[in-house]
Amino acid sequence: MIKEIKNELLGESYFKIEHSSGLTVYVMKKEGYKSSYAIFGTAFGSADNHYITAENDEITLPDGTAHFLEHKLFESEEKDAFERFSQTGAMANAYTSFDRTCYLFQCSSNFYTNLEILLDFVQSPYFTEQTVAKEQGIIGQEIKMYEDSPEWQATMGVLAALYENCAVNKDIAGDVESIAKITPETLYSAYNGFYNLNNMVLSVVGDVDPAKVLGVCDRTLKTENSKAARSVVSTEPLASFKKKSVKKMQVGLPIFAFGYKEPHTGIKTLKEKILTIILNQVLIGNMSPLYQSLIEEGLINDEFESEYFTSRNYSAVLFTGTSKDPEAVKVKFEQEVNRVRENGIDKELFDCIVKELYGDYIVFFNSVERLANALCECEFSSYGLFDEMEIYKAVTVDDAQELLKEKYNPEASSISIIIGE
Amino acid sequence: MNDVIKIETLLEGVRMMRCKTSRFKNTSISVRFALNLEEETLNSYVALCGLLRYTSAAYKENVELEKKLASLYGANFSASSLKRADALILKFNIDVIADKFALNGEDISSSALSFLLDTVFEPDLDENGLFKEKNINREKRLMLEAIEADNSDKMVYSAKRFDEIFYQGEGAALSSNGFKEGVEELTPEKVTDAWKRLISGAEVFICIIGENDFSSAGASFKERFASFGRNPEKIIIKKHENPSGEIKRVDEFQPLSQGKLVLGFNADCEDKYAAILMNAVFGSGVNSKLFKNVREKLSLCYYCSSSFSYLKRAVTVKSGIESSNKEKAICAINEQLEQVKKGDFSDEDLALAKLMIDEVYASSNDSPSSIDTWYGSFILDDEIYSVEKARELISEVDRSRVLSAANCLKLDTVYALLGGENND
Repeated sequence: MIKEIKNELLGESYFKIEHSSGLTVYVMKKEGYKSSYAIFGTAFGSADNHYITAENDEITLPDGTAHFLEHKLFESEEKDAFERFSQTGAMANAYTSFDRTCYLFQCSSNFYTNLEILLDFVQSPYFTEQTVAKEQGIIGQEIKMYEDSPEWQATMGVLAALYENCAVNKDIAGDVESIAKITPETLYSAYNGFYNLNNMVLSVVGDVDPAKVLGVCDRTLKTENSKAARSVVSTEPLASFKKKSVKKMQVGLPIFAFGYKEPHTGIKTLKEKILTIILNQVLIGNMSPLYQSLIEEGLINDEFESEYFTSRNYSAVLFTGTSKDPEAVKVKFEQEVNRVRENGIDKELFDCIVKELYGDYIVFFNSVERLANALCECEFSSYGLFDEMEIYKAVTVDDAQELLKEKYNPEASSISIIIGE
Repeated sequence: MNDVIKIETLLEGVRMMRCKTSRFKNTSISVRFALNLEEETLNSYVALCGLLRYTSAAYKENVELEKKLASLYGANFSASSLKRADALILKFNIDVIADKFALNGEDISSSALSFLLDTVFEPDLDENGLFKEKNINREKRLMLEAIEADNSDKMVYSAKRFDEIFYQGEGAALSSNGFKEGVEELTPEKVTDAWKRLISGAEVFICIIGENDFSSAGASFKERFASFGRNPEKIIIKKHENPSGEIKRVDEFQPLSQGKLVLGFNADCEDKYAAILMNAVFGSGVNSKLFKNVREKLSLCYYCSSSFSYLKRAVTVKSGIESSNKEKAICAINEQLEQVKKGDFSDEDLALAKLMIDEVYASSNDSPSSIDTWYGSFILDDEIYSVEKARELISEVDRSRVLSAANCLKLDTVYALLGGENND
């Protein structure tokens, strides 16, 4: 089934195709662009380490399996995928997050050959004892690199403090001990469970011909007859697991992350996601009275950031930055939440933020990379690419004020601080 | 693609590139200032960069300035200090959505241009015409925190320490974020002098990319610059040299999990595009010798790649290693270079390296920011090449030119940041 989705104001359109193999394919044509971008992704991330297979077997994977699998999939019995891509000139890469694994390439020539390589190598797992052992060394180095990053350690620290059971409390790459437990069998089990075309998406953006993209899909995709594995969602208490975690590293000023866990209710609506981003900006964005006073008091600097960390198995609002007194920043933030709950949201500020987000959304249509990623997100979250625009037109202060009642619960909060040795 | 690109000289040392195109959803306007990177003035310029980003005569409180940007549909306004060889580049950039997307028919592009001009040329000064002490104090704190953050990030810290050692005595030894000593000594007078010098003395490159005509942009910039008078300083870029020929070796120790190894080579090669291609064969990209052998085959590091600076005539190899593997990694990197020097690479390797560079160049026309980066990178050069011209120049390089370029490389500096303590 092929559906074309258009937006007149933006002058953009894309095709959503339910391919006979089971895969959902998105194609967005960007005329005049030299480079094209393709992503082949699966809804399998590091947090999906506990699952039920199509045969009803319950499996728990060693931490870091999804990421390990991502590395290993580039290899095959003959030429590895990097080598094949380097012969066409494409820049290939892959990434694993808590909720997905994506394989991608960008190129300005040989697009259809590259697409064929992408679809082929992701569908051709090849794992042996020797290649798994070799990768343990390389990934061990990658883990060490992240161990030295205070920002990453602060973020992982707050997730480990917020979540008692959900596997977002573990590093995406696992640790040296957990990856030592990974075997070819582990990788095949995870692969067979989640690299199922019904659980995957292909998104293509560039000056490409949708019919030719489908031609490559028809030739390369193997029809999926089985069901994908089901991730087991762990039960998570409403309150945070630990209130505070502190770690010593080589840093000057303390680096922090604090956050507010939300009850698990599945994938959030796009409207709630946008309203949460707006609320973060209203409360502590760079136009807010709190942000301005924290800067003047020397409590934060311009590295301060907020994020709505949400997917099918978890939701939390996170704040990260550097401060001489991180706990004071959190206290002041919670005071501001109470103040705004009582006094109401400043309408002028709210309108400014909506206008700003609308502008960001328009500019986003320039980038083939961002569009390809957004189309993957559309599939995993069941949104349409143009839905956001309608929300900006319709969203009101009252909507935000209502949502504020249930957000930023101090009982469900934690702070993680990295201090100097 | 029907882009029209026009480059003109507005005043002595002030050039403007105008790319009229309807391909994008936004308009991008940037102005770059290049100055000699010198210890005496560096901190003042870095502070100035932050001060101009934060307030202006029209928006004396940052919150007002931010609201103005939001009213321009979230205009993205940035100010950054960057290093290019021995020069410091201050870049001010505003990105706004194209006028056709304004919900109420506003002329956003013109407002963005005025905003940029006002923030750079009409800062928030006190009654004596000086930057305000209060704002400078805030900037001092932010600078010190940014410098500390650089030291906490081991990849940034190792690159910074390497530059200090490799380029000792040259402008390129300094960091574009400034240095800790001297931040406290910044005064309103020093920063105000730096601002005046920036506008009258810097080499300037303006880039405007978007659909709007901007027919009066050149005149607007010209008028503002002319009101300060122009007396451009000569930017002095020195080729990196190591007259003694002795290899500098420095090991540092810190409690960390992954060691960082950085090697610096003199690359006294005039043939720029041959050296770019040689660098690709040696250590840039997944088909390079360093990636295929040092990372993949020998598993000696998580990353290992090289970069080439034509202005400094230098090649740098950066890698993340197990600290105990330092010597093995150095040998392996040198071994790969020796192979390139001897021509021990296939015609296919050469063709793939060319293809990789061509892909990168070709995609440089695909966004306003990449077009801006491409043209802005010529701020220190007299001659400006289009993307197409550069693609042509790379395609003409042959094996013998790559070999000549490789044979210009001489190891100069080995810097290692290692885990644990020094046991020597």
